[in-house]
Amino acid sequence: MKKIVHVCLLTALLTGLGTSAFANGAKDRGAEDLVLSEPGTYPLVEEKATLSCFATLSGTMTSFEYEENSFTKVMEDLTNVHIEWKVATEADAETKFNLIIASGDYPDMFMSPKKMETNLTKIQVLGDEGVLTPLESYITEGTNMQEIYNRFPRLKNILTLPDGHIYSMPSLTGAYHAQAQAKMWIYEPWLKALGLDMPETTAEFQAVLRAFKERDPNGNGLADEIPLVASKNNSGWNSQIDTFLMSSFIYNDSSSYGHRRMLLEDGKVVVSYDKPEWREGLRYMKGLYDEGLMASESFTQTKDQLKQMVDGPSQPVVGTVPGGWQGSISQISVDDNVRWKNFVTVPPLEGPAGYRSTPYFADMGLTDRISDLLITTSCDYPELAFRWGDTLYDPDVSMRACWGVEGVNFELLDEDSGIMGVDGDPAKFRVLEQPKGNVGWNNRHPRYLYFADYHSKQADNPDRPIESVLYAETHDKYLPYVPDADSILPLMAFSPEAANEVAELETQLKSYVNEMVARFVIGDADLDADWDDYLDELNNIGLERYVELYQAAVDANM
Amino acid sequence: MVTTLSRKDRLFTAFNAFVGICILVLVAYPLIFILSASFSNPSEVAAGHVRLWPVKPSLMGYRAVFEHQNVMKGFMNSGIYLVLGTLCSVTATLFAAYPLSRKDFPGRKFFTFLFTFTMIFSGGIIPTYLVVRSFGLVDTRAAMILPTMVGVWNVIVARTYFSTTIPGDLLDASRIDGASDFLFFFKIVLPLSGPIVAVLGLFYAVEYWNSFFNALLYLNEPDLFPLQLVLRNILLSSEIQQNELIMNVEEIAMRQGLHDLLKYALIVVSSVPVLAIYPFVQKHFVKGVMVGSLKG
Repeated sequence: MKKIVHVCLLTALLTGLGTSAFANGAKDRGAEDLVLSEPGTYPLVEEKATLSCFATLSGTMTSFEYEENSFTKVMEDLTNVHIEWKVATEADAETKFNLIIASGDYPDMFMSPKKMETNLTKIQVLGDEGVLTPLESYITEGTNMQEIYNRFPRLKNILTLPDGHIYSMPSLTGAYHAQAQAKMWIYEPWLKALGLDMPETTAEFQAVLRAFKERDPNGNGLADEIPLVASKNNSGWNSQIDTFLMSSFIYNDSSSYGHRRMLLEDGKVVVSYDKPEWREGLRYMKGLYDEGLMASESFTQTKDQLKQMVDGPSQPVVGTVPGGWQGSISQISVDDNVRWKNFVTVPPLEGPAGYRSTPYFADMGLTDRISDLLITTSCDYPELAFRWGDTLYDPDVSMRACWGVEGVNFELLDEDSGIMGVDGDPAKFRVLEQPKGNVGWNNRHPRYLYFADYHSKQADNPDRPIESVLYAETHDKYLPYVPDADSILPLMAFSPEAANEVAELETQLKSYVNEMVARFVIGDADLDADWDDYLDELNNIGLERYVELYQAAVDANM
Repeated sequence: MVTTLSRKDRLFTAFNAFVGICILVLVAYPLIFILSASFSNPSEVAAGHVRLWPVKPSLMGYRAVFEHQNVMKGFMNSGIYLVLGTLCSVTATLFAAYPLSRKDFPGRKFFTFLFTFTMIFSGGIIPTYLVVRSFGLVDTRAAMILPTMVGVWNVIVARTYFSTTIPGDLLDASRIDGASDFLFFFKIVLPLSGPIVAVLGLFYAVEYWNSFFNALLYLNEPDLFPLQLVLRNILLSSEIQQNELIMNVEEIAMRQGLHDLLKYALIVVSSVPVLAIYPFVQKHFVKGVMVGSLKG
């Protein structure tokens, strides 16, 4: 019994000793003014200041603490600002963020809150509720943020919300190849084995698939070839069956844009999935399915099952797979797996009516992460917090954060080093050893590494030529067919009421359209007899209202 | 003893055995698969070559698990929460259950009602969080134990056990010998309650071992995270977000690789402690729960 008594005492002791940084921190601090350094000079403050920050732990990283994370040390030594970290594991970061917002117990800053990457509406709501501090008064000449705005005025327009305030600090990143993500990969050795040319039209593509099916390209005497296979909706990056194929008939944006399948025509919002061209696209896909060229698993299997289908068999059996990059179609992390290196992309196909397009991410690099730092109203030194975040945009600091230590993780290269970058020009830097563990903050922080300056200027890994292949394929085959940038809907903020309505309608429309794509293609619904019912159902769900809400938001942003 | 079974009986037994074996296969296969996969070469697992037995056996997964800093810390933390938490919980549960089992306890109905009320209604996550915070428990180990220390269902099981197995005469007898309530509880009731203590202990231990939600809500300090939270993070965070894909493909590949490497070994490693205590408690288990379930 003594033991139990001891344990009880111990527990009581632990409880008594427990202090919450959250509860005490904010209240006690005086609001005396800090003297900040001139923009661009460090340290930011003479006397060490402390801010609290919510951050996300991901990947191989295990700590944000000064003693343990070498980048935290770099930042603190440079700025003279100590950070009290409130850490959430990535898997649960969203729950925790919502809990903190709901409890009214904010830290000074939120760094990369999850599911907020592109959500202007949520930022607007948090601004309205008085959670976030407006930042525009701190963005002055000399700050890195201002420099970014001078270079990309469009970004400033996007981040300035309808109430006239700017609440979030973005990241400028991206990748060249992600401007056109809806790629189709084809196993090139098969094309060569059968003496076929790269298809350019939907009819040619179908003929190639037919040849894959009938002429035994892997030469094992068995009819085990799968000419075309994809993964189901919501699994895999651009690995869905319709994204690429439908683009030969009508504009069909990919999952990265939330499957909105929407375009601006002379300032008018138009959706694709109620048009006759959409029906023709479905007819084409149904043709592939009926002929046995498209695997029926395409509508049901997950991305992992898809990759196993490509990688698993001892001889290649899969001919073509849609996917955003090589990692969407194959397990590229496995060293002795080399099959993916033989896949090349098929260019967007010309449809029977002459239409040829591909989904386009026009604001790549600008709007893919727009809320990597939010400063709250419980912060006593918002300008210091802003300047701390602004420090992360310094090119050297950004490089250090993302690519690690110069000389250890990467090396800068001269013009005349003879090493070529991803974009084919001389490379600016080369990765020596991927930064692992507590060397950085694992891309969960603001940074200014615009893809054209950095991502495209790195030397590719010769053993795994992923980036240079993606760059070249995108540049040569896809970007020539993107629609006009003005016809792409920019990132927009809705009013909270409209946002709820849009989200609800969008979910319903999206799942109905996706369901019907599958049903029309496998013949469960008839493209002639059931098409009108399909249109009626779209209107029942509220397609008209949905387009109207988007139109209103577009008009307000013009 | 040899008994002759009728044809019908034999048919019935054979049928039972068949169904039993089917269920066994259904239950055992995933377990065997995970075990085999954990000892296989990760690339073979990723390619889907592992079906039943390990392919190209390797200990890579286990080595990676034990080299991962937060996994080891999580292991220790979970151990601490399990031991301390189980001790506190069992003690508090017994202390709560015993008075409720005494018919002469004033307000017994009322207190029982209070307890059961909380089984059905709760304040919700945010109010609970605010309460925990106002006690200064956020970011302390105590936050893993105190807020959910007593499970009402367990109190009811223990109460029922006491009221059905400890005869009232025993209390009368010890009173005649001059024993106080406390003495009676510690000297008579507890020694007779081995099974229920074992059962409560196991229930609570498993609960503490598996718990991650308290940690998710109340802990901001990675040094305090239990194993389950670390585990969740490794298993779930490699489900790569679509708009992250474009940043650094090598990094993504590395994360995918880590995920594939660790996944099965982690599942095995994190299940071992619970599997290890189970056989020792199991004999009490059936008895304890059965006894508790009789009569209200």
